[in-house]
Amino acid sequence: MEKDRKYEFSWDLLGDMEQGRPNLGPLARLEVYRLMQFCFRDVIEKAYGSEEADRIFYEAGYLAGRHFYANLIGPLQDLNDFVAKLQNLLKELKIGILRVEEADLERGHFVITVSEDLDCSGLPEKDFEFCTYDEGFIAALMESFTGKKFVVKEVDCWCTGDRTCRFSAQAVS
Amino acid sequence: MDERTRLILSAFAHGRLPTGIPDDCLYAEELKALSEYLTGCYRFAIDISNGDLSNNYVGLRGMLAGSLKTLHANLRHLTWQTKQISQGDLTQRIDFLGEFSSSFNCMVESLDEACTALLHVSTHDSLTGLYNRGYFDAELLRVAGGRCFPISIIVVDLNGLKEVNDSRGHEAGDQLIKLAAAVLKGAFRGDDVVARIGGDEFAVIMPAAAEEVVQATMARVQQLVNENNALSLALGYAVAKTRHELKKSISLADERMYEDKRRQKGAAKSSGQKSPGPCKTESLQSNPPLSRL
Repeated sequence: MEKDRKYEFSWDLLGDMEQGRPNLGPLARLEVYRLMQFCFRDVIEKAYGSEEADRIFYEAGYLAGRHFYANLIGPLQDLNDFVAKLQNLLKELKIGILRVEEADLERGHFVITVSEDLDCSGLPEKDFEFCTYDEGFIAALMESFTGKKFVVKEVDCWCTGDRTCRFSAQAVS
Repeated sequence: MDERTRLILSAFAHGRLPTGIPDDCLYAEELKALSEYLTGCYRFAIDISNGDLSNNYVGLRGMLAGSLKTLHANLRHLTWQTKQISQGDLTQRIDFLGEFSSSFNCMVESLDEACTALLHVSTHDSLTGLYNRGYFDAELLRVAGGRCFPISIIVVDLNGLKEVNDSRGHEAGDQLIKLAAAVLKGAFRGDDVVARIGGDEFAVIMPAAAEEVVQATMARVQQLVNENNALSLALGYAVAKTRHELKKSISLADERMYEDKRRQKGAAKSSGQKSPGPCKTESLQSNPPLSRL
């Protein structure tokens, strides 16, 4: 099965922007990104159901988070360095504004918020949290930094009427 | 619309939360839900205004609760940032609370400046601007645990300070100390720890410096001393290849500095001078050959 794969992710798939887009550059409108993501969601949900669609997006976020950490952040030892670097990167890449509410490395418990989130800020109100991709992404970042497995749950989301997305991350043994 | 419903709506319109909504009034279910929602938001707002940030009212949704949650999240983040600052992380800045942000950031910047100034005072010698004894000892411990071996230690004694103090006063003595400091600072690399560890004593840590590096540096010191007729220094050095040799290398460098001092005194006697001191430029190249540790 693994041998037959066509789309296994690697960082070089992001491409050489300077060579590939000498005139347009690396930036595109956020709506285009959302158009793709939400059409993926739609099709995946229709094919596999809501729960499975959420799981797939969590896993995709997790994969992205692992590569993001390996290529742009780590390895780091100090929590403050990790938080500062992550905050700067998320802001610089316009992914969102990260803030920390709780950071207990010993208990493996973190509460963070992301404002102006790439995926959901400005969306119409729904009855459910939306950022499953972000959950996986954050879980992979935490795991890459601490070496412990993390489960991340979005507890507040723009889509449930909140102006900021709040995530609870807990290390699991 | 019946009178009871009108009164209930009027209470809402005036910002009051009706105490009881009868089951049989018009839109009773919706009014109860509205009352419950507003009560939840009211309690949330009261908690925030009382500084109780422990409950984030997860189940409470919608735009009104959402705005309170944003404030709640900002205050929780501010709390975390303040804790970070109290633990010494002075890089924290805030950008989400308007005018409070700029005042807060000014406070942290002032704290940072004060800490930097205090740190400088606590690690530097006020007369020469070189590092002080405390910093030297701390750096010695730090490099001992690192990987920058071989480490060279140099011990330096300023000859003739007492004579200058006695004959020309302490101000002249201070000038001589400053001159010695400037010569040493100019001779060593930027990353070397050049410290004044006593009245007329100096010491230097040279990380990642083997015998040939320290010898070249001693030659630079010699050249600078030769250019300053007012200066005479006694020097000794030793090289530690491992952390176990570091303590011994300090004693050895010290012993060699005294050997150099005795040798200079001997040379001065035989040439008819009183002792090595200022206005005397003994050649440091005549230092006895220093064997490795």
